[in-house]
Amino acid sequence: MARYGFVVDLTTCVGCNACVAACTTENETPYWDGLYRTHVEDVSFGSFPDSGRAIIPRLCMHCENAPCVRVCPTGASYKTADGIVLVDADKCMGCGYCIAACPFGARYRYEKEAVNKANEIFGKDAGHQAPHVDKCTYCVHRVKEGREPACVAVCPAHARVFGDLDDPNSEVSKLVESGKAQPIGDPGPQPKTYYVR
Amino acid sequence: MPPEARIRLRLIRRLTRHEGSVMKAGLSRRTFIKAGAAAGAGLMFLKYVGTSATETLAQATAGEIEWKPNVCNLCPSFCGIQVAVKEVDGQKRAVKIEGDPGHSFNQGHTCARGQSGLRLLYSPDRIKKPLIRVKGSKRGEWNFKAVSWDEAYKHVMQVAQDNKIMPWEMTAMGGWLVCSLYGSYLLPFMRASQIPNLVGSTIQRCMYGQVLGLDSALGTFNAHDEVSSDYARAKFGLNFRSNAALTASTGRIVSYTEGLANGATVVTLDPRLTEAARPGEMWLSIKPGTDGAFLLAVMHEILTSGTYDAEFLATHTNAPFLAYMDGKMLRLAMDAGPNGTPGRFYVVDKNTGKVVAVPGVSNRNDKAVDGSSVSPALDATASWNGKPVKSVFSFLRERTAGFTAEWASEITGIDTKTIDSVAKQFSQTNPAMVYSGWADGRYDTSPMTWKTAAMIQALIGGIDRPGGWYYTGKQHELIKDYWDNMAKGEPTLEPDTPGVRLPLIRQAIFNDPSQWMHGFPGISEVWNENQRAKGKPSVPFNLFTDLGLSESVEGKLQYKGKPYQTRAIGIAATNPVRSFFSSEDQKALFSNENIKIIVDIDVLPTDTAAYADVILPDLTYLERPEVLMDSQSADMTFASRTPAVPPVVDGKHLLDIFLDFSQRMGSYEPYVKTLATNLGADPNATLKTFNDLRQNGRSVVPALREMAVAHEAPGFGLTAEKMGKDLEKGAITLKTKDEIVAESGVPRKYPAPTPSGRIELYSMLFADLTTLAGGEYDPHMDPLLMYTDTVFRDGLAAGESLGSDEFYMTYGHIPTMTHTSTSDNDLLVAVTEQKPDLYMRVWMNTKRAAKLGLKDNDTVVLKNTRADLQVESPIFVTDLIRPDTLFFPAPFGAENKAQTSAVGLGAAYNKLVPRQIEPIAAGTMASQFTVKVSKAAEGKG
Amino acid sequence: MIASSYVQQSAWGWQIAAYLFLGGLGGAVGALGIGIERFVNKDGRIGLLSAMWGFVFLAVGSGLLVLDLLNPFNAIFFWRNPGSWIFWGILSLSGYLVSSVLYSVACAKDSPFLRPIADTFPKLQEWQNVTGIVSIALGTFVTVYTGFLLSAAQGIPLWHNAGLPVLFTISAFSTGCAFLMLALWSRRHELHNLFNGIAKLDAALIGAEVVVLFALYNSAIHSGAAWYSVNSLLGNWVFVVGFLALGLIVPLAIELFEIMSDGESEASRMAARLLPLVSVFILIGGYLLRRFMLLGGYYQFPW
Repeated sequence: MARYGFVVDLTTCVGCNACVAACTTENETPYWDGLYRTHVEDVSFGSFPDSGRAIIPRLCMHCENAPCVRVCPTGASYKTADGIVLVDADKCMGCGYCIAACPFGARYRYEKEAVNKANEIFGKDAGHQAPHVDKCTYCVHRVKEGREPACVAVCPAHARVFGDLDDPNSEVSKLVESGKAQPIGDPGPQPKTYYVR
Repeated sequence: MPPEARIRLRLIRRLTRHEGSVMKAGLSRRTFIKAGAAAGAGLMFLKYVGTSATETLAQATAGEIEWKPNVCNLCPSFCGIQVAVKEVDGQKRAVKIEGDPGHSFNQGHTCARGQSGLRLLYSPDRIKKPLIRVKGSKRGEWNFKAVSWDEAYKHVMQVAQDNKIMPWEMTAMGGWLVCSLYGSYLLPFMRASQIPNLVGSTIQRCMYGQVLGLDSALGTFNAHDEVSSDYARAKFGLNFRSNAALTASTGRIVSYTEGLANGATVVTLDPRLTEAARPGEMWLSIKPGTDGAFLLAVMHEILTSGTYDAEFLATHTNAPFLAYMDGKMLRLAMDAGPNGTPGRFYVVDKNTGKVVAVPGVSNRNDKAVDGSSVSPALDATASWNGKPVKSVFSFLRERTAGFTAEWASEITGIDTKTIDSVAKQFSQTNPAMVYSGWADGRYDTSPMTWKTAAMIQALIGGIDRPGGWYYTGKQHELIKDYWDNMAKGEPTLEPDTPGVRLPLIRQAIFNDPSQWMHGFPGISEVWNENQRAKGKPSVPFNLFTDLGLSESVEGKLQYKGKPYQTRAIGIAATNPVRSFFSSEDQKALFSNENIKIIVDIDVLPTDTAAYADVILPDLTYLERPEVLMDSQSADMTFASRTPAVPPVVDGKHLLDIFLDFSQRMGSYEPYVKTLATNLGADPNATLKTFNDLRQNGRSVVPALREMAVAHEAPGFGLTAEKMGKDLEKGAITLKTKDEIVAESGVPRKYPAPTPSGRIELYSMLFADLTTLAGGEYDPHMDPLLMYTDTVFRDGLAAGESLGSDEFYMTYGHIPTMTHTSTSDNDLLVAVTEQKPDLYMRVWMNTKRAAKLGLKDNDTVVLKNTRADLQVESPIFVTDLIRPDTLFFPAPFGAENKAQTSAVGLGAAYNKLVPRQIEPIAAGTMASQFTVKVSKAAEGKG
Repeated sequence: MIASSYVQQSAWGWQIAAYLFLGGLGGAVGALGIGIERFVNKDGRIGLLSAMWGFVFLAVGSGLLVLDLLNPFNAIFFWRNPGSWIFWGILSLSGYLVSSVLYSVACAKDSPFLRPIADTFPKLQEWQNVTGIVSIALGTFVTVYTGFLLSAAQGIPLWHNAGLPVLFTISAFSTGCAFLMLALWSRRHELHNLFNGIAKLDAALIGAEVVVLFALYNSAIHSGAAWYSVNSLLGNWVFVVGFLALGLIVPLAIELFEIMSDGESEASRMAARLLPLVSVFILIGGYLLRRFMLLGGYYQFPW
């Protein structure tokens, strides 16, 4: 059984935002409401001329010990055997507890109006047919077919890497094992999305 | 709008070495997420009863998908893509765009713009049918009625007929699409129709500033299409005036970041800390317009430390050519050859100390005209025809002697030690590379700045080798065939002429009255003549510029005593109202009633379309077949397009529209025959094929592609059938750059397309430009090298300080939005609006803002100090930009309300840009002024 | 940490604030009132009134919750994860709705108007102790859990601490006291001692609430996001005036004065007459506290 994880390489990201656009078109998320499964943060610091800029793509951490799974009353939020945290829209009642509980801001509400508009924007069989809480799925529908998540495939800077953390030959496991890739933020939930700085 | 209120207090540690500092941040807008609607709750219950338990999964590429190959058209990178097509409700729908892994430029990736192409295809704003202006409405008003294609064409021809509009009274305007892809398809139309006027919007705005300088050394013409920087293998990179090239153009992102991952040290010169600068080793906040000085300091270091590639310079460049001063003008010792081509040059042979003649057109200097071996001396002083002469290289040493790091420091504002250190690092790293950039219509010093960059590359031998500048795969093919043909005494088809030789041929045609049956040459040449007659400066490289157009429209242009009027304008895929000098001037031009008919061919209701009389809907790249396309890669990659879905609107391919017009103008046959000849096909057979296709309402474009494939395939040992079939699956890469260079590398194996065939430190093209311009020496086009300060306004000489409310003005693009093609796209707008401060407002340094009493997001008025122009914009107060400079993100300011996503976003930069042209090619100087800043009145902005 | 930013949570809006308020209030009213009836003052009318108001508050609160859901029908799956506070919340709240009715029917025997109902279900009178104590337990649980609910949000420092559940519990019982005083106002002379007792209890609760708030404030000073949250609240006049001043300090002052005075002086009598107003302030303050705890909930993100 694989244990999927992710590495974001902050040293090569050039802030092109292709990942945001790719994820949005792949996963048919309500960009018209400013809602996305992944974001590219862009922060500046320091005083000129010693100013600096950090461009930080972020997505769901798919935590081993995910708070969102723990707090979900209906079990709609769950983790698969290979470590991908998903939301079952057929069970999600949209209470938003998981949104509050996630220390990484990975989730948002996919509301009814958005579902309706999605059918207009993305076509009649747009993937989201019920309102629910939405989040990054590591593009599990692609992973199942042996393809990479959309954001990983599109990234021209190779700033996103996806793979099996338990496979010693995978790029992600090498980066994590070597210590080059580290978690950021609250380590309690044991995030599986790591960062190279 | 972001759903969460974003209030940031930054307690930040640097990514790399330094300690950061706590910074107070400003508040930004707050919005609240809407609560679930109470209304319809009953329906909600009914709808979701009984759904089966399945996972919530994205759907775009799940299920039955068909992949169709295509080439992205959101920008002139032309990345190879694959489009996922699904059947939805019985109809084919494009659901996802991905990079084509077979395309060597973007290697399977795309940028945010490429991803958003679907939203162009399905944009509600698209022009859906041909439109004719409603009678009584004025140009500028969006008031049109939909008609059939026949009606639209009839109307245009009727107006032309009623007003007896002659071919020379017509002007065509084309954008980057026409420039980069359809040039060879449009020009035969113009020639056949006897229309001598074409204005390429990219020509003055982005190309000439950069390309002529850079290309003068390499012999290329359209740098970003013909020169490919090998960022991936350069160990040291010097990047200047370039952001979007490295953060939006996918192929360049791929190569640039590969270089970074390989441990390349990159130093970026930019007034602000761009996305491109961020991952590099060092960001140097350089004073705007002074990059040339920095480059000269690097060149100085290379020359004084001896780290240049002496072998390369002596053998393959004109560094050893003997030259002399003729007044202020440096001239080569040479004998003319037949038809004005160079006959001989002269060098000093190291071994004998004698002056030896070398061939006029060659890639090597190591064989004399008489066949004996020569070892050209780089540093040389001699006598030739009684004149004292020195080598070009010796002159270069002289000229650069004063360009020390200290000298550059005064000008650039960067400290001496840093410049010295960077220059040393550059000269000592092998391979080091100056990044070749993309567009730079900013200053009158831009051509010389880029010439300097190209000369540095030449000095270190960084041409057609790993970590250097490669000619693209296509250019190599053209160059090789051109010289091979010449050796065999065979002609080369006009569109297959390599590099800068092609536009020179074209310029000769457009400027020569004897090339036109009616005897009227292009307006820009007439304008030149008029200038010379008045003793005023003319523009030597005037191909496809707008020189004289407004005078012609206004009826103020005369040719041979007769008025030379412009009374019809045809616009294809360009948006001058938004992208060219002074928005108001463009609007006035198009509003002039002397123009009886304006036809605009476009996909979206641009700001320029609002000034048309007739609008014809083009098809997006996702809905149309395409001609054969090459790529900006140094590998040889071909690609094309297969329609992903049937046309969403009642549109036509641009080329079919040209043919429709040519049919009605009586130029159809010669047009088609020339197209055929240019592709090596039989003219009569082609005519028949086209007639058959058109009679059945079908596009000729697939036939054009077939012809091009048949033309190309044999050169690569393929059958036309095989190549055609492979193209239907995706991009094909037939040769790698290393294979190509081994076979036909320039200049080591084949001559460059420069006049002399060498890489030219002394640019013969620039020398000719001076002659064309009337002979008076202008340091901006010195054939070797001359430094001139970038002067931002009268009275602001180097050393003088700006006023307390005065700033330098820079502009540029952002990774998510770069051209009109990307602006009215709801997905790109949404992603851009995630960072409204960084992406959409004018950047101002924190301390300056404080001094002026300005806060983040205040709206200010920017007044041009050189012209009566101003624009308003909210500001982004930041420490990422130097205090004396503002940055204006350029791709905004749409005014046509029919662009539902773009209208009202940001501010329009070209409202601020006056008509000031640089002397070589009328480049726009779009950053060469200062602005005064004041707070806008309340309630505005 | 690469960087740090504070972003306001937008998962839960006023509906949830109202639910937290009504949940705390309803559970407390029920627990207190039933507790009084069972152990202090065997007056069925008090028990009935408390249990049923508790029912109403919890029902309305739940209604708001349901309306706030994206897909209420899926609420039937609430039982699937006992690890979630919501599981326990729904369980205890529904339990209370049932047990409080059962209890109230028995209480109805003390109401001349409603006695027939009580007589229809004699068994319930037998079980009144059970239903009563169960209702007290469930009501208390509902009140307490509303605080613990928020504490699971480990990315929001203002919520994720030991103090918040304590604060909410104390505050809820304070609102419960306040409501009971309002509800029993017409019988204040008759239930003079009970009234005093409730007022004393409320004063003590408010006093404790002030201490807990100070403790939260104190621990927040040295923490990034928590301090940002606290600061944003203290900068909001509605919070400061509506909750801190009118919801806490003013009621505490008036109650203390009323308790400590002899009931004879003019001032003392005025204070007594102000008690309903004080109750209203406390109730409004109770809602505002929860509303502002939600509004002031900032995530601390590592970017």
